[in-house]
Amino acid sequence: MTDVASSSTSPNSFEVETDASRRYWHNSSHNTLPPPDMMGAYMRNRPVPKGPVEARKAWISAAASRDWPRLST
Amino acid sequence: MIRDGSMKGEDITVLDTMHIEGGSLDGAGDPENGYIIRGGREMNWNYDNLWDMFQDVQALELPEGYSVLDEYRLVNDNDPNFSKARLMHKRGQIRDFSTLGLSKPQQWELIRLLLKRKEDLDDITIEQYFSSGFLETNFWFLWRSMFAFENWQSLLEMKLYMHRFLDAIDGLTDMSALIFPKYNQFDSFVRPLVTHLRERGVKIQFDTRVHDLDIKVDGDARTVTAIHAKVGGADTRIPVGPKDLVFALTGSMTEGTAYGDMDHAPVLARGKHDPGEASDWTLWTNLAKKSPIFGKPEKFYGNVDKSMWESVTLTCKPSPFVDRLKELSVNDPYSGKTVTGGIITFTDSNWVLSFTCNRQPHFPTQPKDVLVVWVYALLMDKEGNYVKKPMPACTGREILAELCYHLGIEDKLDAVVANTKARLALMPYITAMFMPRAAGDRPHPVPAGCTNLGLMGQFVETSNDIIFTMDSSVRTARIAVYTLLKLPKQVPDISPTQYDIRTILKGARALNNNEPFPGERLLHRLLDKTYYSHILPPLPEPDATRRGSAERELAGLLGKGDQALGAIIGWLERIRESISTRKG
Ligand SMILES: Cc1cc2nc3c(=O)[nH]c(=O)nc-3n(C[C@H](O)[C@H](O)[C@H](O)COP(=O)(O)OP(=O)(O)OC[C@H]3O[C@@H](n4cnc5c(N)ncnc54)[C@H](O)[C@@H]3O)c2cc1C
Repeated sequence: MTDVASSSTSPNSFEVETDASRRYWHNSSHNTLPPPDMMGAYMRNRPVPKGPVEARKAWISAAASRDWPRLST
Repeated sequence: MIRDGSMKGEDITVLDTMHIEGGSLDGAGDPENGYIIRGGREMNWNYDNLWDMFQDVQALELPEGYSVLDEYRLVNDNDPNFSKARLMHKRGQIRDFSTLGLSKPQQWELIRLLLKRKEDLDDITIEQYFSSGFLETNFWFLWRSMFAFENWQSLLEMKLYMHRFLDAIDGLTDMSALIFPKYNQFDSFVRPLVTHLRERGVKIQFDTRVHDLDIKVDGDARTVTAIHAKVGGADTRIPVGPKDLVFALTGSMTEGTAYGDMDHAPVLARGKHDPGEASDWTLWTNLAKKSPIFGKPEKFYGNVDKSMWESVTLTCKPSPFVDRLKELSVNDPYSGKTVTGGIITFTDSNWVLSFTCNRQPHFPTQPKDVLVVWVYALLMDKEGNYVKKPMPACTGREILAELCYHLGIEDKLDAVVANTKARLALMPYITAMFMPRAAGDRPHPVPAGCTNLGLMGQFVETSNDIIFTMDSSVRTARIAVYTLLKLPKQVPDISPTQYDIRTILKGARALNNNEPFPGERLLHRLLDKTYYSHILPPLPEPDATRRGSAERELAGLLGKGDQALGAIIGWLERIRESISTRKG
């Protein structure tokens, strides 16, 4: 079994919010990632988390759709 | 069928001639007897059908919920692929492969091919179209060895490859456009997929060669009513109900593979022009006898001398060969990272010999001191430069000698042989799908009128896709499944990158040996201060000299003294000014 945490070594320069207009993109020996505006099934990966997330909480401050008035009522 | 068509796995049975799953995607052996892979797989990001499928298949070495695609990205996102010795010659020297080495007329030969209509290229070969000089360029050595094209094969297919991989042209020289699986393809793809299918109840029946189908014709409609197969050698008829479906492969590139080893050359069992009854080609041959809608199989299997080549898998303990390999690799071969970054081709090899070492271990159970290396050659009828025999007549020992000669280490052959095992695979139909073809030679995934028969694999027609890829195997199966199940789901055409202006611009730069192509400096004058500046490859000259360079380029295009020259330059400069001022 692959050691998930230690094998996930994405470089620190990894950009989540890509910007295709920032610079000229071309194939090169440094590339590991597709072009910044790549679409297609290759982008549908589920990344392996770098560290554990157990006991980590998250709060979302926003309106919940549950209380939204239903159009039909 | 299961994911998109809601069919039950238990209702699906796979019939296969062999005794193991995977077909061409093989990987077997051990360090004692030597490992064997008939092929390795160069891949790219745009294998949209393959990734669409493998995003939903559990990876065997990752926790529950992570797919084969996730594993693939984990490996490739963290380890760039590139080569530092893509071409070699003169017994061990790296040949300059920094450019495609195309003259202007040779560049035009390629551009004209891109512009040609597909329907104008029936039955034309590559060598009929290109000049002999073109076939000696870096471009052609890189291309033919990377994709396994022979000079006598289909120009149409070469054109389709150009469109499919236009976005990779600028990463062709150092192979930085490629990505590779973690292990051999049996362990990377077949094992997880078969586990996935078996868990869902799919049955796999081995030793079953399908050789004919009963087809009921009713007006224009054709419906399969029975499958004829040899099961364990015995004739068997499998009835097919009107609502049942049959998906059949029309041929396989690895059909009739002959094997050899260190001391034995492979012996072909297939006829040079007729594979004979006891072959996987019989099904397609029998279908073709029923109707022209099933195409012309003999155009593909009918000339083994033109469709065959051989690969060799080396199982290597430390030796002078491994020492040489280290010098040609971008990382330590034992580091688990990219090694040669794709094949290394010897351009002065009579056989057009190439070899590669992919990420190691190449097999999950491979011992730490063992490397698995893959070797192949394109020309099967020429004597070697060192071993005076054609490759198919050679033992593993002799092929190893030829390889060592091209690496400049033939004086250390004994030490190499003592620490290396070679397993050979001579594949009579390995490039059968590239043989010259015309419209109608290949059947469609669902031939006209077929109500329950789909055809898949490398010998069926698609709108724009190429063959000899794992992606096209999935594409043709998807088309057949969605069509016959009447699913309102599109199978996307090939990735649109070929239409992207950025792909065309960087491709033009690469074709022009990485120098600005004619008109590029003018485009820079127009776009450099605009939102679109990033679509152009950076210019080699400093900013201050660019205006002069652009003027010289324009003069070159229009001819010196042309009156339009001054007007165009003035117009360009006014546009630059107006775009870079803050207001309208
Ligand atoms: C040496 C080599 C190198 C390659 N390199 C690349 C590469 O770099 N990149 C890439 O993307 N692809 C590459 N490929 C191509 C890729 O592996 C194939 O396209 C793909 O595996 C073919 O799959 P398929 O299902 O179409 O056919 P195959 O895998 O060829 O399927 C054949 C299977 O079907 C069975 N079969 C056939 N006919 C019958 C019948 N009538 N009855 C019962 N069983 C039958 C056979 O026994 C076999 O098991 C390479 C292939 C090889 C061999």
